[in-house]
Amino acid sequence: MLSGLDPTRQSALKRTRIVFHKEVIDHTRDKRSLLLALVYPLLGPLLLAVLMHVSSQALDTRAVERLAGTGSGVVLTVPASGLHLVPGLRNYLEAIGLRFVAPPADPEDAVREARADVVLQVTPPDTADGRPLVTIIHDPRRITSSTPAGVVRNGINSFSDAQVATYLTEQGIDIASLTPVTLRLVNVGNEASLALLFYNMIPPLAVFMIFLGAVYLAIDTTAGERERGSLEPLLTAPARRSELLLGKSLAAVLFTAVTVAINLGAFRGLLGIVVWQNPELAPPPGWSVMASMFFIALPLMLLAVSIQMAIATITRTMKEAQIYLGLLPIMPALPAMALAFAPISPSPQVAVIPVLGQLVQFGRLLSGDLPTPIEAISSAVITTLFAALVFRFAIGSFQRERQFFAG
Amino acid sequence: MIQVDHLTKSFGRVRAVDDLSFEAPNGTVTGLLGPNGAGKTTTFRVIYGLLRPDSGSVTIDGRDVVSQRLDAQRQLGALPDVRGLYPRLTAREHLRYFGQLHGVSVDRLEARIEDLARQIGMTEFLDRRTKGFSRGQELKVALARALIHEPPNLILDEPTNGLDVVSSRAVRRLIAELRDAGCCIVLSSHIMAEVEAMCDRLVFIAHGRTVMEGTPDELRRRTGRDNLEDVFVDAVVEGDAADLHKELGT
Repeated sequence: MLSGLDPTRQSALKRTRIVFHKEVIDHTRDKRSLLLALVYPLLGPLLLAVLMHVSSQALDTRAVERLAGTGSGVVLTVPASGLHLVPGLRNYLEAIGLRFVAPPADPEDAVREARADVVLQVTPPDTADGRPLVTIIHDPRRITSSTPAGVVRNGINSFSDAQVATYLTEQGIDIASLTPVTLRLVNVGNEASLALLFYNMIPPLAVFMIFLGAVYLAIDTTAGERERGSLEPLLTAPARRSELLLGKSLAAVLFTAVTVAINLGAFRGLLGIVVWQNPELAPPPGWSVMASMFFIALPLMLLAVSIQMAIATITRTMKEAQIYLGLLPIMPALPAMALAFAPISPSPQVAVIPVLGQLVQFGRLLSGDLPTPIEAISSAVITTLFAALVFRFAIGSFQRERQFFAG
Repeated sequence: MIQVDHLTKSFGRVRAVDDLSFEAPNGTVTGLLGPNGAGKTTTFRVIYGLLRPDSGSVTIDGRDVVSQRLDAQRQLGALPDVRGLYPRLTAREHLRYFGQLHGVSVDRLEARIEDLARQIGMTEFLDRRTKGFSRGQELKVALARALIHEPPNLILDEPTNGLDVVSSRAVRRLIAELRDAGCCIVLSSHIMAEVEAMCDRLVFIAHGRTVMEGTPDELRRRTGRDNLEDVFVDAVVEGDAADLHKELGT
């Protein structure tokens, strides 16, 4: 008896490695774990790429520039009627790049149902002043409608101003004396800045994936193992509970790391394709930025897995664990989303707060800076310590006798 | 050898095991029998190190299951009542996983897996994932998992439950061989004929306490009953009566 046992006995590290190896094999065969780790991280980048592409098409600011007389050719085709009622209007608008086609029979319905983006109607005067009524029908809910509507409105206003100026000049009035100021608008917004808006969404979506990547593995290896009845035989093996949980957790960290790597890689790849198709857009963060983000995220991955394990060992059933852990990724992603629109100043106090610290560093990388060494080190150390603290709690929970009583 | 000494374990206000003592010597099959809720599973869970006793002690080959848990577990193979397999792993991978956790050397492990597969009759499905296994197949894998490290002590909870006649006979033969090789085996079963065929010693428990123990022949002599099932029922009823007297203070 016992003749086959290794006389030197195993180290804790070896037992941890055995559990890690088993969990990795087990979950690379599990469709749900693979779906979360390999497919889910593609969805955020795909969505962002599609949105960026569509927005860049809709917000083609070259059209506006041409309207200002800097370009030539047709930039916007507008269904229109009654243009003949205003002498000179059609020629003026065509000169600045608009082309007109016959309007649909039901202009308002057509715009509402997105069969047309904007419709221009000029109708005979219905008031005592005898001025024709110019109507622009548009749908502000659609960016593809509001942008051309703005172009048409600017064209009409510009035509009116020109008519007034001509009349006043004919009357011998100096126009300059009627306008106390000269207004100049400098539009620095272009496709490049549009792209930056989308690149700011990368950190919150990446944080979401960090806390989602190994959720199923965490549930399956703890609450799932208990429910399946495999925890009891496992605990009869000569291994400390901490070693078992560490092996499982390291497998979860590996799955999270793969998820985050795919996520960041997909952001770079897909956004790069969009920029390739729309060269005016600012180039996406480079591969080196993505690699830096990955390394900055590593302590956060440890924290995410520790929290997942802590929750999964507390809950009594898989269903209960799924409810809590399903909500978990939203918690850090919400402030991350808020920070994408209202960035905070990167103070040393913020830098040490887990999640916020990483977000500050992501922000620096995306804006072309590097995190300061003190930021990077303090954030990594504090987050890792916090992860260790939560993991210690998870071990305590895993050692409790109620672990064996599912349901 | 497994020694249970004045073991007590409660869950809240429920006392699952109440001052239970018995000894399972080497080279002997000891049957731990009792009605449902008698405390068998809790006792087994304390023996294989899952639960900590409130008082009393359990030793496996002299190693305390609390203070020397890992050492004690190395001396023990356990077949819990819930077989608990991983559906995405093959039977071989189960044996490899537990063999490695028990420290079986790599060169020995593969040969041991093949031996056990032949012995227990699981060669056909050794490399199949366990999802969809019949109860009998699951039990064979769980039994092999308990034996993979050639433990000198075995806890077998319902070791033939779900097996067909041929497989049951094979398992009984295996248990007899292990006993003859000097292994200490403690098993539970609800099938009295099987208990009679396999067990050298019997420990009847009710309400967490030992109500009777001895060899089957000793128990028959002591109770004057020929049928072991009658002996068991008498012992359990006596246990119930004793409890009732205790509660009433009579």
